[in-house]
This record gives sequence, structure tokens and C-alpha cells, in this order.
Amino acid sequence: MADGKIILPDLPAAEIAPEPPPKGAVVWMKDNLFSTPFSVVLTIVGVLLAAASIRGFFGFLVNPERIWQAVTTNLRLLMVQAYPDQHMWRVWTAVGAVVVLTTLSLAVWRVGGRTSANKLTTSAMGVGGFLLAAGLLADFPASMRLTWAAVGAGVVGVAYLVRRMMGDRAKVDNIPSLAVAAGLAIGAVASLWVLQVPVPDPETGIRAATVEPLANTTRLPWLWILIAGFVGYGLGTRVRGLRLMRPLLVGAWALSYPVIFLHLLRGVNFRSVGEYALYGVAFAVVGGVIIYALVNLNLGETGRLISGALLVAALAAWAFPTLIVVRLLLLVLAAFALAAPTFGGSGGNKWRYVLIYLGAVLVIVYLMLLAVGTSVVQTQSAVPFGGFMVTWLLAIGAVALSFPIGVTLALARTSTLPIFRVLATIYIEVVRGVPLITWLLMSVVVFPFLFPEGVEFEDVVKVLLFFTFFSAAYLAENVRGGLQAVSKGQNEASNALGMSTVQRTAFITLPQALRAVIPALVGQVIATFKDTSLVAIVGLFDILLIAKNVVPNQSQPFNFLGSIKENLVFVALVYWIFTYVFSRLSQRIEKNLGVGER
Amino acid sequence: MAIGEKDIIVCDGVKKWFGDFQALTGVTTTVKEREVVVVIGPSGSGKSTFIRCINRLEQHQEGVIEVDGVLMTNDLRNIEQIRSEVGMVFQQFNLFPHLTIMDNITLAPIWVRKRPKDEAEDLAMKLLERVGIPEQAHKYPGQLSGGQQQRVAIARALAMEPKIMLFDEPTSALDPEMIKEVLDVMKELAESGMTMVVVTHEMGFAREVADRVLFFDYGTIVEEGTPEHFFTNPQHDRTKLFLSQIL
Repeated sequence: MADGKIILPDLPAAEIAPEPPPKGAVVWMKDNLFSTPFSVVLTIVGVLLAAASIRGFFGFLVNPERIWQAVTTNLRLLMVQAYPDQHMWRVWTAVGAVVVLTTLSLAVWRVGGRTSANKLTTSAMGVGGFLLAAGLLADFPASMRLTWAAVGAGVVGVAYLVRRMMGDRAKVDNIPSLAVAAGLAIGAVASLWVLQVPVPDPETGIRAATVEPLANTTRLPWLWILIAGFVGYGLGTRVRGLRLMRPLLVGAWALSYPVIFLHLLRGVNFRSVGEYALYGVAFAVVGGVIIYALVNLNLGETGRLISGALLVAALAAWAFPTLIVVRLLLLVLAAFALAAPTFGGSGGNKWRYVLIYLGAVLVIVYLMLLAVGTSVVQTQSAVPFGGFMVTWLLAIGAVALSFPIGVTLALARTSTLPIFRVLATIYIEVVRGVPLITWLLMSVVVFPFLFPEGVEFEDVVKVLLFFTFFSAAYLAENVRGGLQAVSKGQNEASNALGMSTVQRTAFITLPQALRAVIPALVGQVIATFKDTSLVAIVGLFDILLIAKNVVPNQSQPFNFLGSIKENLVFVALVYWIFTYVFSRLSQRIEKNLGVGER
Repeated sequence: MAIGEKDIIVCDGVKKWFGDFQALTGVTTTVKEREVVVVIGPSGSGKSTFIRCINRLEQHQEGVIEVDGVLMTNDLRNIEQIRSEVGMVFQQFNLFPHLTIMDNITLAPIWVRKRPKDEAEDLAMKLLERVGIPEQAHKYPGQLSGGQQQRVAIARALAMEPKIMLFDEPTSALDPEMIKEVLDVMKELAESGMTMVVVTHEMGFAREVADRVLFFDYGTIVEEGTPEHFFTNPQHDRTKLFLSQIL
């Protein structure tokens, strides 16, 4: 080119515009279902199999021999076992607190993407199509088949119409996912008020004597909890601008478990408030001064000596008879003193570290107040926990407690110090090498002999501890996988910036490692949740044991003998709902953190 | 800016082994304040190992390294403090992928230097303007081009207000189009009087910016001198061969 310009040839735009590939249901079916003789056979066999299983499953559900009243009548037993009537408010307040915390956090963290009418109508059409198929195929009485088929066809039709009418607007992601979730929650609570189920007569034991609303004792509490949830969200949108809101909520979440556990197990024993308050104030004042000095006065070597002395004192307190509250407070003080040079910060946040310490003191005193003294919740069994409540408490507790232990173990196993590495490896290999059931049995049978006389734990606490230790070993290996995925360059970069080992781990290595292993961690959480059904072996009545042994043996006043099939289906449904919700939540978290994109 | 009188890095007979392989076979040199030293040499010649010994990412086994008057030894108690005086830029950028650009730059000043957050953020914005990408402050490293990431890495190192900057092949992982933008930042930095030790294959940069060029091979300095001497009148056969192959 003489003038240095490159001339692109003019392309006849209209002629080379590619023809869009043919679309439509027929084309799709031809491509995907009937492309070869073999796939034709596969398609036909598959459809027949699906039809047979739908027919069999629904036939099982609506068979007149099924005693579904065994489930509906025993819902309370399945959920909370024999938790005393006059203390049921403790359960409801606990559930309410968790719901409010959840909605508050949703608002403060601005969680929630948007979905499109297209996606929603697709889901609705799926559900409707399933109902329609069930109505057409299942071994139902004729009237019922008609109803199911009509409802299914109706849902599909409405969804299709909505999508048609909205046209291109249906493809826009403009419906908040949270609104959909709220709608589902409202629907669920409303169904408690509207749905009617047959109820047996307690006098005669005749089944289906009357018809009453489903769960007529729980619909009011659930309504209040629903309202509280909405109020929590509204509040959250108001306060999310405040700077301290997020750390406060994280603290509330961390505290919620022990508080709820003890709130359900017993109440505050107010007779010992005075004594404990005294210890609390003493540690708050003296400890606060020490921490303030360590953070602000740049004591150097002297500061390290003070922290070391505190640590020795804290450890010594465990060797000599000392009140547990004092032992714990000393430990916390020593820990804060040791970490002061690393996390003390400076300038604007001079007081923040001291405030966090004061908060920790307050929490320990409060928890000890809850933990000591006699229980105000009295039941026939030694522990007032049972049913789905014990499943839930064990699962959440084991996951929450095993998390810090597991992370510590993983760090220890990857540490450069051989002593930590060896200890962590031994722990992990020993714990993983023995089946969970064996550990659970040992927790009840052997564990008590490891403690001096007079020290006793409730069975549920022992089981919780062993679940925690077990889960921690697996979690440690998952986290170690994440730690190995963090590139060496990250360590070098943080070293080159002068970060200490603790800072590097807390700010660089761990956050990246945990992000990398979210799927594995979620798998671990779900496994722990389901493994709680093993506690039946040590005599705790969780939902599965009640469903298997208790309800099917009821003969007075109701005759539910042999209702094990119905109960097992119900329990499976309950487990599935929770694990499914959890898995969806984790997918959202993963998406929000942008795993795989950054 | 004129080179200072004070020796800020002193190396004497530095030797380093990786297992049986000797990576450094005795390196002796000094770097003065505000001097820009460019280290070149074939791969495997020990040049990267050498500058990584200066901030003790690698530990040398024999010889002496003194940085700003502090002897690099095994019982060095405040290694973090020395490292915070020596900024380093890596070939692979090594930005923290889970933090925004702003957090990448302010993390160390806040937690290592204990600076108040707003002060650290002001400084970070100034540095981002200096390297030419203030508008990227709230993005994540993965959303930036390689050249932009490397400029952020330079800003991150500068945020610690170091006395010395080490560059370990800063442009080797970049597309040719992006090399210039990084080199421009480095030139500006050299002109502002920063003490720099740069491992690079960019001969143009060495010729234009360096006060002194070190040629490494077999784990030691084969030849050193001003860029003019080095590129126009090399003495050693090994240097001549190397230059004939790359120029």
C-alpha cells in the first residue's frame, strides 16, 4: 500500500448473514431423542420407566392403606419429642430469633439476585407438568386423577399464558429472588391456616373422625415468626448504612448458637448473677487496662513478658481448682494480650480492640450464667431435646464448632513446625480411622471415665463434642486442600510486604483457601447434618428414631401400628428440604464471592 | 537525580545452594543510594535468586548481605521490618485475587505500618494516579489487564514507602503491547530517585535507565559496568556471546 493504509474489502453484509439454525420442539426431539435407532430405543425405555415409577410412587402415596394421620397427628412428637408444653415458647423464640437474624443479615448484606419471569414460569410449568403426568399415570381413584390432571394443566396453561403475554419482557431479570422466597414463605404459613386434614378422635381412636386445619397449634407462632421476619428485613434496610452493623451481626450469629442451646436446655439461674457479675466487672476493668496498655504504649519486650505471664497464669488455673468462669476469662485475657501486637491496629481504632475484649468478657459471663445451676426445663427424659430439634442442634453445633478446630488443624498440618504437623496428623488419622458410630458409642460409654469424678456432661453434650471432633478431622483435610491450592507467589508477595505469619494466614492464605473449597465444605456440612441420624444408637430420640420406633408402635389412644412407611417418607422429605435449601444457599454464596471468576 | 554516597546494599561472597545445585557461587557487589542497577543474564544464571536473597525470600548460606545497615542472618528477629523497607515486584504480579485493588494496596500499610485507614487510602489513590489507573481502584485484579496488574503491584510495593525497590522480571509475563506502560512507570520511578535493582530482559530499559549493569552467569557476576561500556565495549567472551544472541 503506497499510502500506508490498509483497505479492507467491502463485504456484502446481507448475503453472508448466517441463517439461524432451525428451532422448535420437533427439531429438538429429532436431534436429541430420536437421532439414531439406539436412541429411539433408549427414549422409549426411559419414558416407560419414568411412567412406571411415577405411577408406582403416587400409587403408594394415595393407597387407602396409608396411615398419613400417623404423621400429621405426631408432627409435634417428630419435631420436638416431649419438650414440655409450658416451655414451648423457648422453641418458638429460638426459631424466631434465627429467622430475624437471617432476614436482618439478608438486608444488611444486600443479598439476593434477580430472576426473570421466564425462569419462574419454567419452574411452574415443570411442577404443573409433573402434576399432570401424575394425574394421568398414577393409580388414583378417578375423581382424584381428574383433579390432579386439571390442576396440573391449569398451572402449565397459566404459566404459558403469562410468558406469552409478557413477550420479551419475560426474559429480563427483574424479579427479586427474595420476593419469590418471601412469597413461598407466605404461602407456606397460609397453608397452615387453610389446609384441612382429617383428625382422629382421641376418645375412641377412630381415624378421620373430624377435619381440622393442619397444625392448628403452630399456625399462630408461625404467623408471628413470619411477621417478625419481615420486620427484621425492614429494619435491616434501615440500618445497613451503619458502619458497625456487619461485625455486630457476625457476633450475633456466633453467639446465637450457644445462647439458643442453653436457652432450650435451661434458663438463666438468677440466684448466681451477683457473684458472676463481680468476676465480670473485675476482669473487664483490670483486663481492659492491660489490653489498652499493650495496644497503645508500645511496650515491646515488657509487653511480651506480660502476655507470657498471663498465659502461664491461664494455664495454671486449669491445673488448680478454680471456678470455670475465672479459667475461661483468664484464657481469653491471655489470648487477647498475645494477639495485641498483631491486631491492635492504631490511630482511629485505638479503642476497638479493647471494646472487642470487653464484649468477649460479657459473653463469657452470660454463657456461664446460662450454663450453671439447675435446669428450669423439666422432662421425663434426662435431656429435654428430641425429635428434629436435636438433629438441628447437633448439626449446626457440630458444623459451627468444628469449623475453627478444623481450620486450626489444617494450618497445623501445613505448618513448618514439625511438632504441630505431627500432632495434627496423628489427630486426623486417628479420628478418621474409626467409624462415627464407634465414636458415638464411646462418647457415652468410655468418655465419662476420662474425667475426674463429679464432672458430668449431658449425653447430648457428649455426642455434640464427638460429632465436632469427628467433623473437624474431615474439615481439616478439606481446608488443607484449599491451602495447597493457594499459590506460592501469594506467600512471597505477603512476605515481601513485611506481613507476619499470622497476618499472612488471616488476610491472604485462609480467605483464598476457604473460597477454593466451598463445594467440599458444603458437602461436609450436608454429610454432618444427615449423620446426626446416627445418634439413635446412643439412645437420643432424633426424628428418625421416633419415626421408626415410636410412632409405628402407638396403639393408644390412636392405632398407628405399622405406620413406619409413611413416617420414613416424611422424614426423608424433611431431610431433603433442608439439605436442598442449604445447597442452593451455598451456590448463591459461591456466586457472590465470584469463585472461579477472580 | 544523582547517586548518593551511602552504600545501601552490600553483598560480599554470597553463596547459595538448592540441594546439591549451587545457584550462587559468590556474588560481591554494592548498591548505592538512588542507584539503578539492572541485572541481566541467561535463565538459570542465578539473577532471580540473587535479588530474592536481598529481601530474604531465599536464604543464602555463605557470605554477607547487608541491607540499609542490617545484616541478613538467620537469627534476624525483625525480618518483617526489613522486608517492609524493601519493596518487591514479581514476574507473575502476585496480586491478592480476593481483594480489590484498593485493599491490595492498603492492606500492608494498615496492618504492618499501622497507618489509619483513610490515610492509607489517600496514599493508595495518589499512587494509583502515579501509575495511571486511579479509576480501577474498586475492581478486582482478575478484571484488569496484565500491564494494569503489574502497575498495581508497583503501587502496592510503593505504598509501604520502601527505601529500595526490587523488580524480578516485571515484564516477562506481559504482552508486548503492555510492556511499555510498565517500563514507563519504572522509568519515572528511577527518575524520582528510588534505589532500584531490576532483573530484566529489556535491553532498551537497561541502556536508557540503568546507572550500572550486572551480567550474571554461573551464579556470579561475570561482568559489570555502565550501560555504554556494557553494550558497546563488552570485555568478557561470555558477555559478547550473550549480547550477540539477543541483540
